[in-house]
Amino acid sequence: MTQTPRTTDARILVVDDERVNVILLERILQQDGYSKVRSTSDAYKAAALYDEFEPDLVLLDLHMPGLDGFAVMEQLESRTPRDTFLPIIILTADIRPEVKRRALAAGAKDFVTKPFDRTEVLLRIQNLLETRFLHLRLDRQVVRQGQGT
Amino acid sequence: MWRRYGDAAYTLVTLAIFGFETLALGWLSLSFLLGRATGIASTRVEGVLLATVTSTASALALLGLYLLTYHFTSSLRDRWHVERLDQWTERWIALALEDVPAEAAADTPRLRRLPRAAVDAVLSLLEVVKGDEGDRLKAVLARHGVDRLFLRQLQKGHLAARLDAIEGLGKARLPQALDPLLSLLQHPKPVVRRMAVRAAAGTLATMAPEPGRDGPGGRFIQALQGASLQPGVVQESLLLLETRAGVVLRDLMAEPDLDDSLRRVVLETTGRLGLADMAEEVAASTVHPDPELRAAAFRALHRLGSVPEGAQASLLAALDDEVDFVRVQAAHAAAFLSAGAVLPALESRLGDASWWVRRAAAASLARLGDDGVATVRRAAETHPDRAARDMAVQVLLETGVLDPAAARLVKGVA
Amino acid sequence: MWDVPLTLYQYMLLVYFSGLNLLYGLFCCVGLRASVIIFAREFSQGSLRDLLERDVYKPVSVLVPAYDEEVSIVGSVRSLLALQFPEFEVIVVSDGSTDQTMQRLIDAFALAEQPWATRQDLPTAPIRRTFRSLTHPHLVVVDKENGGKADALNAGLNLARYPLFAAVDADSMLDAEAILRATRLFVEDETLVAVGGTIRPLNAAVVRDGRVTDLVMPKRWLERFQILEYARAFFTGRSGWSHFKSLLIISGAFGLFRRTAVLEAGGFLVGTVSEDMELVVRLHKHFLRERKPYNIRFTPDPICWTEVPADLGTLRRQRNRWHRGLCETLWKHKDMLFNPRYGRLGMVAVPYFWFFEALSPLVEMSGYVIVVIGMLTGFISPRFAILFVLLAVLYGMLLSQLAAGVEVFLSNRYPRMRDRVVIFVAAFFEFLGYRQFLAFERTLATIQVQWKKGQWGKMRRTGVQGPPPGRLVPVDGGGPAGDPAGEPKPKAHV
Repeated sequence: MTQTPRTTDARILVVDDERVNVILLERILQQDGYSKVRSTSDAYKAAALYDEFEPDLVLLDLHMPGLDGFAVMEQLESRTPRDTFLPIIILTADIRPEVKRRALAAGAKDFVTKPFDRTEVLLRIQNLLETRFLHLRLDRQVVRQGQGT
Repeated sequence: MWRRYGDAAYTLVTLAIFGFETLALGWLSLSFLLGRATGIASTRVEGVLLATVTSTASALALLGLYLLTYHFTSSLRDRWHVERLDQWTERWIALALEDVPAEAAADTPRLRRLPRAAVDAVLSLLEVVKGDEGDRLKAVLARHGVDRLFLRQLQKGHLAARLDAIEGLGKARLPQALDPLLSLLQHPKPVVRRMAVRAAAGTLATMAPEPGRDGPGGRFIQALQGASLQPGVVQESLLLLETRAGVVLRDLMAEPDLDDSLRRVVLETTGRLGLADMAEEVAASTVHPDPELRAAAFRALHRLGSVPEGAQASLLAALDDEVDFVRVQAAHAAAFLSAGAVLPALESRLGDASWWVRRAAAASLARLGDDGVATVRRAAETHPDRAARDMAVQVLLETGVLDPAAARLVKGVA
Repeated sequence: MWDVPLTLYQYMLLVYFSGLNLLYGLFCCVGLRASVIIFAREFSQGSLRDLLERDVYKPVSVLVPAYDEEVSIVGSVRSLLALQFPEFEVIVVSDGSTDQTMQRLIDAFALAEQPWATRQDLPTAPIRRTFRSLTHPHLVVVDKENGGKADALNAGLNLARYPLFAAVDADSMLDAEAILRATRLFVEDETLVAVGGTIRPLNAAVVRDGRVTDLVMPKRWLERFQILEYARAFFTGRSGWSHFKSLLIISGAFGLFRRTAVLEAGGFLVGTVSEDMELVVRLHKHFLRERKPYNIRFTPDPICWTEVPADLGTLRRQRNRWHRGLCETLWKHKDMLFNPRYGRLGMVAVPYFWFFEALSPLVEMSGYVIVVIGMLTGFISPRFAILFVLLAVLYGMLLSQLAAGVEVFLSNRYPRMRDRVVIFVAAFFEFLGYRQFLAFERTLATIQVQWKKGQWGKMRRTGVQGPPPGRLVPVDGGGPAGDPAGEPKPKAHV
């Protein structure tokens, strides 16, 4: 009988070109009990880091020079098998509706607007991780059932 | 893009050197002329020449020394700055997240003045975090008198210092800075006004809303009206208002004597921010005497994706407006009316004299459902005006109704 | 007998250099203040980011005139299409190419011929066919009869549908972020009609995915001198002019224009050597005559990277062409000289370009000649001659060092200390041959203006324009791509 892992065991990947944001998010997460946090401020390394680290959740900045958040989402999309629930939370200062729409269409599951509120960020992360682990549990059950028949 | 230390000094050095050289060369020219004219032995002129050469060489040597020194010290300083910045950032984060008890953090030794790196670190963090954490950081600024320092620099001090202060206050978003910043909207230098309005907008965005002309929003609006700012700059600042934008825009729109150019900015920004609940107010400007405003209103409605009932009549009238850019924007907005109401009017616009109007009309028709597309197809084949037929075909191609081969066929027939 | 004229001429030389010095110094200081001091504070990284995140930009049409570019066109267009710009279109105009340019484009981008409803805002040579790409909806390709670069640009303008346009050379590398930042200026200032950015030499830099990731000093002194020149020209020269609202030159490599304004002024002029400079001057003229408020400015940010000539022959041809273009434009608009109707432009800027830019190589050369003659005729003592030449050289070094010293303040300067020292040293060596060589070439150009006129049209891009572009393709990470650029490399296919 598999147990749902605690959400604080989750692996979280942070991608933001601003060092300050990266450090801040890391500290916030660490303080809240998340011990497996990796980060990068180089968008080009995001995909490789994803392959290596296999995160349960990605915190992604939208507006980065060079490769922006949308491009990174595209890259990640091609790497995740279909039907996997990979939560991507977008960090952005942009409040315009069409940007949100575009991000949702591109695969984001939630937003955090900058400047952000710590409690809000942690809440959203927790919610998405719970959903993710639920999905994983369901997948395992399906597999087990499939093996049973 | 630039380092901010030593730049003012360098400008002064440049000025000094050039001033000196001008004098030296001028003196040389004069002695030369006098020397030749009066037949004085050329040794005197040579003397002057030698002096000039020596002075130039020394200026060059001094300059070279300054630059080389700057090269070395700046690399060191940059590295050092980054390290310090990281250290302070960690420290402030710990304070903000309450990892460190307040007393321990306040042991940032009796320094009343915080080092530059520390201030930069706090300001960077304030750009990213709000709420309780943000408040703790703002308290840090207050405790060390940074805000008072900025405010003082705002009023006096040379240009570079003033701009630094405005930038700092813009990042810190301290409520007490709003009024001093607004007062700078009357400053003679355009760059000061521009930076001040952006900083003020950023500050206002985080302040608690207080309705009325005396509240912060009201004061901001008053200041905007009295300031001579380029419309684009006002637009930028309105966009920086974030969630406060809607309220401010609504209040601006309701101002009785609103300047035309400001009204145009308000319409543009409302459209850009997608504030659909302001469609009625926007629509009121569709009958404004100034064509620029009429066009701006229609463009905004187009962006908002809705045309209120009351504006339908004015839109239909605008499709026949004598000014072409009004017709263009009206045609774009027409895509959001019901097909029945607007089809015939749009169809007649396919033969408009202006290319842009024809394009807008065809594009809107193509978005009005099957009836609209059918109208465009009909026009592609049977419209008497060649230009209208061409545009119809092009729009059908772009929207994918026809493929290139079919399009060529249609063109061949028409 | 030689006495009086020689004396007079020497005196004029001295006055000339004093005047030049004064103006130069003025621009240096003003340029420094505007570009460095003020700009640094108004647009720190954070502020720019804030504005851009809020959609403060305008859409752009990128015009790419091409003539016989079969080797490089696909790579260029591909890198342009990859720009991460929210809203833009790329319009490639093949100016009657006789090689496989069109076919390569058709194959690479799945072009489908389409009948196109065009505007005829500007007259051009007839258009044969227009294409749209099935894979890239914002790519348009036009095949037209040969008419020259300006004509091709005009054809592109007829098709462009965005408010702004940029005319690019295939040699330059565009940075999407750079364009975005430049368009913001048009939002901020409604009267702005043209913006020029900064150009820096790309040679030997490490490029990755269309961005410069590491600045490396090239090994050849020729390229090093050019790095110096560009820094000087942009951060002090153009910046100063722009501040006084008298900017006459916007580099073809990176210029952003408001389409309606250019149409009003009549589009690009066919048959000139440097159509970009001619356009800017004409824009000034048009708006001054019409008494409409307008602005043409330089912005230190963004930075556009371009490959500069790495061998003497190409450099000579390039500078010859530039100088001829300058002289031609000035001559064409000679009615602006000392004409108060054109305000500061007519009374200060245009005369400056006549006397201190167009004629300066002649003056410089004549200075050397005078000294030699003077020595030979005994009019000038050898000591005087040596001191005089020494003064000229030292003085030139001083100017050079002062202006290039601005580079030291750049955040994105050459990271390695020894590279920066190289530039510092280059400012001294520049005057021991390089400058004189260029002055000579430009003197030749001044003389050749008249009879080299017709040659521009069809000789484009066969080496006259410069080396075939060498580095638009990502160079895979790792160490400095310090190719000493022995031979110009053909651009690799992506």
